[in-house]
Amino acid sequence: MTTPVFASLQPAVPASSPGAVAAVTEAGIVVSAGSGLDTGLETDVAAAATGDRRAFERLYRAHVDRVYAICTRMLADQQLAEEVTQDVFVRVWQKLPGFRGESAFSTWLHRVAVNVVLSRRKRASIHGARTADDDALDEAPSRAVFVGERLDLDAAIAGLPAGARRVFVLHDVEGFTHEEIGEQLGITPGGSKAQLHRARMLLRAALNR
Amino acid sequence: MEHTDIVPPTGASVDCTRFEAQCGGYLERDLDQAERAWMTAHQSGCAECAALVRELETIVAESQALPGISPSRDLWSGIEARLDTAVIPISAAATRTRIARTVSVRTFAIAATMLVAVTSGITWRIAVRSEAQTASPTASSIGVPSPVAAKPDSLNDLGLPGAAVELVAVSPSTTSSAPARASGSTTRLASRNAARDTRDDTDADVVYEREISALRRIVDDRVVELDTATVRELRRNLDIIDRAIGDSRKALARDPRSALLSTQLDRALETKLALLRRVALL
Repeated sequence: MTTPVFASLQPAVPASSPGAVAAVTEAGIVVSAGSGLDTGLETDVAAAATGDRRAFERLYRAHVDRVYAICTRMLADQQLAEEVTQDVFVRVWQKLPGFRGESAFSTWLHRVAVNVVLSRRKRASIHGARTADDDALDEAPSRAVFVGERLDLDAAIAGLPAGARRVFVLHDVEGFTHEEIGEQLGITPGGSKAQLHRARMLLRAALNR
Repeated sequence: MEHTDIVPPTGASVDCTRFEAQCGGYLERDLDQAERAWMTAHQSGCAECAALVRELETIVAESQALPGISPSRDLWSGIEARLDTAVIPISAAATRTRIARTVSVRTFAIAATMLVAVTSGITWRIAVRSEAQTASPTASSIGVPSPVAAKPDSLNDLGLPGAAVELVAVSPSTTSSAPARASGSTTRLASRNAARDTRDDTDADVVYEREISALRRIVDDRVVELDTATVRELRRNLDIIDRAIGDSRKALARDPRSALLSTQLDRALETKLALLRRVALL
């Protein structure tokens, strides 16, 4: 089965993210790579929910790389992604008192992040600002950046048309189902599958250049 | 579509096209059994299509293992600045304002009743003493003051209760001492009620003002980093929003019970906040 499961995203800080580990250490907590939420983080979630700013900062430092990665991959715009990442954490701060722990904090956080990204897109389209996010399915990749001779997967994702990119990131990177994606993006599950296949084929072509 | 040709003809480009077209469903395990069998058979005899599947599977696997990405700068200071003051959601603010105004109508009715009673007493006393010429301006002074026009405090101009206080407070100043005492106690009672009613509106205003001020400070600090065209556009937009806020406040002063105007004011304030937040993050 090639469909990823959302639970696979539980590790809050990937081992291959040295910046994140350093930041966490600086903030005074230790997260063992790949171990998921440790008790320190759970305590921080509870404390932050009651208004503890320092605990929330530790949560921010532990998760910012994952949240920023979602925003960057969904938006393909690093500056905008930084802005939206800030929006995500402000939103999380506001919603945290209502977090009941029914899912893992990182799962909940990822969903908030996706919602903020998508609501930003909806807001932009309401205000008539056509952006790269409104690209048609068949538009050729335009922002591919080569790293040396080989195209990096992240750069290849950034080069995808917006519709295909969103579906690819939500499905293959973030683990959402086609039904969930269809609901969030206002498309049918069949449309989501078509976009996903298109995205994978475009990535293959880009990576084989 | 026929699925009988399980054994794929090697090098047949039409079959490879068919394979590629259905590859998405194949990887997602969405194909029916016959189609899947054809795909598997074709793949086993076609090196190119086998490579296609392998590469796509690799992309999927690598995507699931993509690492986090560090932002180019520490975003915490910008986030923390926005945590300083909780912003009242528009809906909550509007609800609170509506509740406050419902109470204020009652307060207004009580104040008006008391005013009528006090006025009647004064008029009667004046009539008994045959002082018709001095009674006339008193009656006039009671009837004339507009609740809104009498309000001096701009922070209170969102609410009616302040007006009720003024309405009661104005009348005794032009009357004799006995009614003034009675009216004075009424004023204190009305003031207490009004103070309670205005508190919610004032709290909302204070929260908005506090956040706007905090963001203003951040924006002022960052203005030097922005290009002049952006700054000019920002000022132009802020002017427009400030005019909208001013107009809404004036309209509310004329019709303090209007939920529509109240919502309009909240939206204008919220728009200003959103603009300042956006600029603060530039």
